[in-house]
Amino acid sequence: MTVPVVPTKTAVVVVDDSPVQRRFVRAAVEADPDFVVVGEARNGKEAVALVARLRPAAVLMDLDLPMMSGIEAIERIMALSPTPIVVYSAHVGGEESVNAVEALAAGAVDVLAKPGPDDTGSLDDYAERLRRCLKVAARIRVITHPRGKLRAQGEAVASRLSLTPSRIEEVAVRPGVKLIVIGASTGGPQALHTVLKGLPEDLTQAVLVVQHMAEGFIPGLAAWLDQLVALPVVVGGSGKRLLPGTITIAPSGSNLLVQDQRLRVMCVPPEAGQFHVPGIDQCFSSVADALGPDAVGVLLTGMGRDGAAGLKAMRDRGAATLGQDEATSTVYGMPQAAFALDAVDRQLAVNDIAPAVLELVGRP
Amino acid sequence: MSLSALKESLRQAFATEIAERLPRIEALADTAADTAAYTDLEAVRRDVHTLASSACVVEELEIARLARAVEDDLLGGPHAELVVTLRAFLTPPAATQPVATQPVATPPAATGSMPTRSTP
Repeated sequence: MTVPVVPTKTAVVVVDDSPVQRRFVRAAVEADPDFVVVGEARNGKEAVALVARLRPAAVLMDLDLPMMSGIEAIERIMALSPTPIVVYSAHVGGEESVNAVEALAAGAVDVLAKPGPDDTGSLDDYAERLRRCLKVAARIRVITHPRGKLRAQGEAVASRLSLTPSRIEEVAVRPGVKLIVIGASTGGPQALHTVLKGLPEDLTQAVLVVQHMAEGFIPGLAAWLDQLVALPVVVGGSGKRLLPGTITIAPSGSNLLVQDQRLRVMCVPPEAGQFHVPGIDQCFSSVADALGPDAVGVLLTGMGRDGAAGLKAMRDRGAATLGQDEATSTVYGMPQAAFALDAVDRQLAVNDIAPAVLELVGRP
Repeated sequence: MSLSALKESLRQAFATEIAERLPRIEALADTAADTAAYTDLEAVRRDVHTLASSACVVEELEIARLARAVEDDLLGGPHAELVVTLRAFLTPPAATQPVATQPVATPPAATGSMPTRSTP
């Protein structure tokens, strides 16, 4: 007897205080027969409860919510019932891109800007972007998010965890290291925060970060990190030099390449068909060519495999390489690809990466 | 649901949303801004924020621009123009009375009226 196969739809919960938005988003999402909106929440509290009860494959959430903010709701959902969350908000573009980074740091996997009165794109384009983001997000296997988990468990537990001894083994010090280069994608902002806050303000190496991020959000990432870490954070650009004791974020829209031992950088247009911009592979490979063993490469959480080949190139040229482990990665894609390529010296929990970097450069 | 039916349904929902939120915006427009309690300002900020986004969805871009301008400058923004434009949306096209005197529809799920504030 043949049992008919019933195609399973991807269940989505929509969170927005506006009935107009909820109705529009439902129609936009369900225009794709693979999706079904199984619930709607009007505020952050409802969202947390609804997601815990319905366990959807993905959540579409506005940030500006009554009763409990979108950021807090994201943290709670990621702590209690981890689910891929796509944020759509009117306040995530331009000067407000720090809100997008906050949402990503809280555990959201992607951020979209709601259409504004001066936007030239059509509502159909917007609906298509919503569906495309949802399709990607629903495939992500997210983990319990550390920030929400710590808050949920209380400060006492958090402080105990912060005293957990490092599991890092003995490593050879590399006094010639000039540059620490870090690549990240989905789940990156929070992982970057964890790593970068562990670097002291008198660090003598330059730090370069390549984070996959939509156009316009990088300045917000830089501003957000600058408030939270000891080292100054700037956005890089062509012709500039990477400075010791400064964190430079690669700008969006191009690939940032390190040119020479003096750490001059240039931005080049993305390659034909390049999906992730800025590219981590391109940047890591340039570091391998320019600095050889005088660099440390770190590949953090992210979907796909960008960075794996570049990290392998760095390792082949003698650089030290670290990868984030599966347990602490929001998405164990890029680090897994790097590990499979034998590009990783050591695979570590995100909390252990900064101490490992400091150990490599000879800092106590 | 057809596209035209969806659009009509969104406009109806937008009208309900305006009717629910307009009284608070009117109250702020009628009150000296510096006397508005923070909680009221926050409620109005949320109102204009929501209306701005919803207006984009129903392609009422003038409402969206005015609401966004009020959201950006809650104490000095174009409240009066926004109120007039929102009332006009609620007014049937055939109406011939001046817009400013049109009654505002009662919200179906109103959460209560704004407290009366006195100007010092």
